[in-house]
Amino acid sequence: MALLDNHLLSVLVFLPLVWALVGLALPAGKEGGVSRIWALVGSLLVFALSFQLYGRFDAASAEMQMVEKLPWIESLGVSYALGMDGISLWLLLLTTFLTPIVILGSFSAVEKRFKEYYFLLMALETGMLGAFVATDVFLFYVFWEVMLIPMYLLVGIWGGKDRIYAAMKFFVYTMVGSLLMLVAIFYLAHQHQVQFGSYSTALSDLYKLTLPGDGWWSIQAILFLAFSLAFAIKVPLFPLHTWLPDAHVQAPTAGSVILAGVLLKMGGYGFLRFAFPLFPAAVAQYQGFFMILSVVAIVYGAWVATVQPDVKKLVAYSSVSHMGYVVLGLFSLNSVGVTGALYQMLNHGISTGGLFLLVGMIYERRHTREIADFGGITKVMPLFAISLMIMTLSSVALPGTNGFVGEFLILLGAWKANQVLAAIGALGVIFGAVYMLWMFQRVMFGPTSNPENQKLKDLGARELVVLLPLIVAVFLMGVAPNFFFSKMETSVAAFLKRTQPAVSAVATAQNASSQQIETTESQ
Amino acid sequence: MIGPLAVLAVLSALGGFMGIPHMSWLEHWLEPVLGAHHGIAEGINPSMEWTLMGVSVAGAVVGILVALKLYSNLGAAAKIKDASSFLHKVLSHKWYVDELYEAVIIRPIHALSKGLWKGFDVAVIDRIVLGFGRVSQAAGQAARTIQTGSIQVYALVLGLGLIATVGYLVYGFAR
Repeated sequence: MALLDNHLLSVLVFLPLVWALVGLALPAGKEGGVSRIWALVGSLLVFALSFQLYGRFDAASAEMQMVEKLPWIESLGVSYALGMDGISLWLLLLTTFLTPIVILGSFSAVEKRFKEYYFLLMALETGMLGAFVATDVFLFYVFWEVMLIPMYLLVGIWGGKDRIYAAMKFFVYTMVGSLLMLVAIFYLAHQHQVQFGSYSTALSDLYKLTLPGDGWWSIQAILFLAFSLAFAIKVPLFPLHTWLPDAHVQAPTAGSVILAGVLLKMGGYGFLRFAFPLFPAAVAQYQGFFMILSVVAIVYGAWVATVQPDVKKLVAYSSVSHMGYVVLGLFSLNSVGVTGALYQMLNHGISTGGLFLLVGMIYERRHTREIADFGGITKVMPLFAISLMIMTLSSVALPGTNGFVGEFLILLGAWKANQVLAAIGALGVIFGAVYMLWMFQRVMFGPTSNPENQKLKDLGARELVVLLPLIVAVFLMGVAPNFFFSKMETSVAAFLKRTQPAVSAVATAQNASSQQIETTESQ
Repeated sequence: MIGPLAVLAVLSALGGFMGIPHMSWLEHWLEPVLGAHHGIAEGINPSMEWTLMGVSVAGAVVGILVALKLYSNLGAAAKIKDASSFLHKVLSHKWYVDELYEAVIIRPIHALSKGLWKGFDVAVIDRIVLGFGRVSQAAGQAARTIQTGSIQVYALVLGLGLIATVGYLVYGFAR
């Protein structure tokens, strides 16, 4: 299979889309029976294929692997360039892992336009996988925007009561952020022309650019901020997060899971893959600023989550808090923090994905998500209770679950960078336990006073199959993190090597200036 | 309740053995990322660790024995309770720590959180976000009013623009 040998990434990226297009030609079947089976088989096939990535990936090398490169828009130096390394490996696998889960999880939730629904889910997978393997900045931008459209339609067509409002807000907000990134991309291509005589948007070429990076408003800083705006909106970082609760609450379950599980990760991935190595001096300059914002996000997100009356909104705000950890880890700019941040991205995909699935399951039964409408569910739905407890504990980072490993490393990394901020960030762990456990207590324990809750059916076989892989992942990643770390450490180290000189330069400059102040004061 | 308690008792008695220094698998759990031998254990010799463990276990055992002795005679225990009712009240309310905690930490944070959500997240941040949309819409509305559909007006504006442009080209550069 020469195609698979030489073009594994391309096949992986476009297989979902091609498969979904064929699915459009098939009849939907009764209650969408044909469409959903077709999509499930296709997504499982993609998942199986993605194991090839794991098998063929060489963890000892930090170079891009399985690269493919074809000229695309030659006058602008844009190429169709794909490749993967230890940073994208697990995010790719997370994507191919979550897609069949949400497809299976949608079987009973979707009630109209089956064909289109499953088509969009798989088209979305193509966009996500493409964004994780693009090594050309412009190509990345294309995939980045491609992801928006299926998600916009998923929220807008299959969403809740205010779906149009939420879909519009999500689309326009994310779009505005990424447009500045596009401008910055064009500037970079132009700079390449100025410095090397030809346009290029290939990441490896752009690394070679020399961009002035001194001070708060240098060229590098402005470009960095343009990229960061796009990524910070996607993460979403406080105070750019208000699209998230709306989108999450209105989206159908599968949309929420993919949004939380993969799309938010796109922001963190963007920082690490593009913003950090391209603009090292600016990253060092703005390190403190972003660390402060992320710590605010951690505490603020947790507090606001605590007082939400709607379970889904609570989980949405918890995402703001959790993604704050990710950004905190990334901007600690040391290997412990960055490794933790990468790990936390995977964890958040699994635990928050699981939580959204569980909320969706109870919503299908009760058609409400208000915490006040529940109570005593444990007695009527024991299997649901166990699953929710596991996901809750993973979300509050109990040792033995995946969340602990990520949060612990992030806080340790942040401690090395700034002890005060790390200490405040650690408070988020406590607040995280508060909102999750309090929610669990009100929904699951107490008397089953509401008669509508007394005859709820417990999870069925299909729902258990949906949840089981996530539960296994929670514990696997909790007790055997080295299995995952071993694949990413080389790549993380290589990325940090690019930012390290700039970080120490800024630190020396700050020390020098503070010493100067001290000496002038003492004179 | 006895059954679950017994299970928990057994587990908690055994659980600690998971982390005995230098003898457990847990010790090397995060080593690949953190590096070996970091943290508090560094520079403290094993005998110190064992002494500390011994002291704390001894403390727990003494506590258990005293309680056993005290409550094996419930009449005597009740007598002690009556003799010091104030102390008993404070102790049975757990030093009022819960009440204190509720008043000093939980309620203020809860109120603050509600305020942040309604008063800041929705009322300030989101209003700014939506404000961008409103401004765009208002600008569109304003621009719409000059699209009257009247050909005469369009022709007039076109003519004026033409005169202004030609005038600028002819005379503008001369100065």
